Amino acid sequence: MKKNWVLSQQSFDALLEWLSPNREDAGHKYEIIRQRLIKIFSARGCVDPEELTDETMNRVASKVIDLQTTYTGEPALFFYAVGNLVYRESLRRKSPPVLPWVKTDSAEDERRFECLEACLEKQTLENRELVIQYYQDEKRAKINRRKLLAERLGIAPNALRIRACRIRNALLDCVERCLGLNEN
Amino acid sequence: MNFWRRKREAGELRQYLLGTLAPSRQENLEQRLLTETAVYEELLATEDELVDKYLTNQLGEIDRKRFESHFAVSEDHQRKIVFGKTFCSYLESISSKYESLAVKEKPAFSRRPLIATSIILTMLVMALVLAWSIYKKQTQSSVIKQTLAVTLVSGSNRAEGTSTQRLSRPPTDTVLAVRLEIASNDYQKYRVELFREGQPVTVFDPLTAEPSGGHFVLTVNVDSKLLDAGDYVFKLSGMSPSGSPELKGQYNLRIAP
Repeated sequence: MKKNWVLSQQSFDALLEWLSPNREDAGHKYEIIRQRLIKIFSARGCVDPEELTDETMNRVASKVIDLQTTYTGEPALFFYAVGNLVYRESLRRKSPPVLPWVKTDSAEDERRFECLEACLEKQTLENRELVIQYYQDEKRAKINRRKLLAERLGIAPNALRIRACRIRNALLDCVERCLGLNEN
Repeated sequence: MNFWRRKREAGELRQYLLGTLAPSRQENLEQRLLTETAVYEELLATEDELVDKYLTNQLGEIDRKRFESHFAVSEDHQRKIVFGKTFCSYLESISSKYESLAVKEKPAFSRRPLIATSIILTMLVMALVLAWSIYKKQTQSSVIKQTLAVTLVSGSNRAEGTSTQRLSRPPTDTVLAVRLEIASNDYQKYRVELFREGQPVTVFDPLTAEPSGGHFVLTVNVDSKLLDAGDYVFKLSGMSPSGSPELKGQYNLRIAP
């Protein structure tokens, strides 16, 4: 890929078309791949996973015209292969500065706390109770509480775990929007 | 996904997030992350759990160092750590409130209501069966234990010279099966009234006749408690279609002391 290659609307449209003839479905798949690539780069200890993901998506978009006729298989795995290449190149580059360890001041902590309270209020009562009860307590008490909660809801423990995780991540996004950190 | 496979994958995801998973396993895991939603969601849940363990000092020394040097490097994970801190603070702040509302440890019985109900029902049925069998045994014991039988011929049919049937008083808790012979079975249903010394004692109905050696018999089972010493008369009536009794004959029996 040429340096400073910019993703054009045409390339982006071609990329979506390659993912699915249905644009809405294609957009959904694009977002899924993007989010999961960010997770992979994060898990690999990359400081800037979003930047690496964007670079990966752009590179795939730049080749999509060829891909439409030459590639067969799961598109996500092609993104993965390109992502590996991007990752290896990033290791050869000078590492970006490591982000300062998470430190927040008390005023910001206060704002986050208030935003969390507000975001919890926006959840349904069931979700609010679930996420609080799931993450309450320590060690043995937590295990027992989760077991009873799963039985009360009539779902498997792992299903409860995933449900609690989804609510928690929704709260995270909500808190960041509340703080103005997340435009989505 | 079975329990053991899930447990193994959970371990792998934790190693992956701390940067200690073998490269050979890592590629396979990452491809599954991209293509399998369930694995991706497991990863998100494992991230949260790792963050919580770190924030509550539940990670061992080595994992703690890996967490800080590898996991916490990315902006994405730092967002989770910051949120985790806020969430932990919130949970601590409401912990006293939720203590009183906590899901109390229920007795094992009520945690498995279906099983508990089944056990209760089974015990109930067993108790009923036992009670019924005891009852049956008691009611049948006098019959099974000791049943005396006597065949009576109708007084009107008694040949000249024959005397009233005599019987020693039966022991207590016995039943006297009194067989009343009739020449013909003219009715569908019969009634037998028992008298002692001219006084009514009890009524047996409805009764049906059974063939026996060229004639018919009607059997009345009389509890020995009703048979003190004295002269007894069994008055036999056939029940007409209209329901009114029609006297057919009477049978005499003397119970000796």
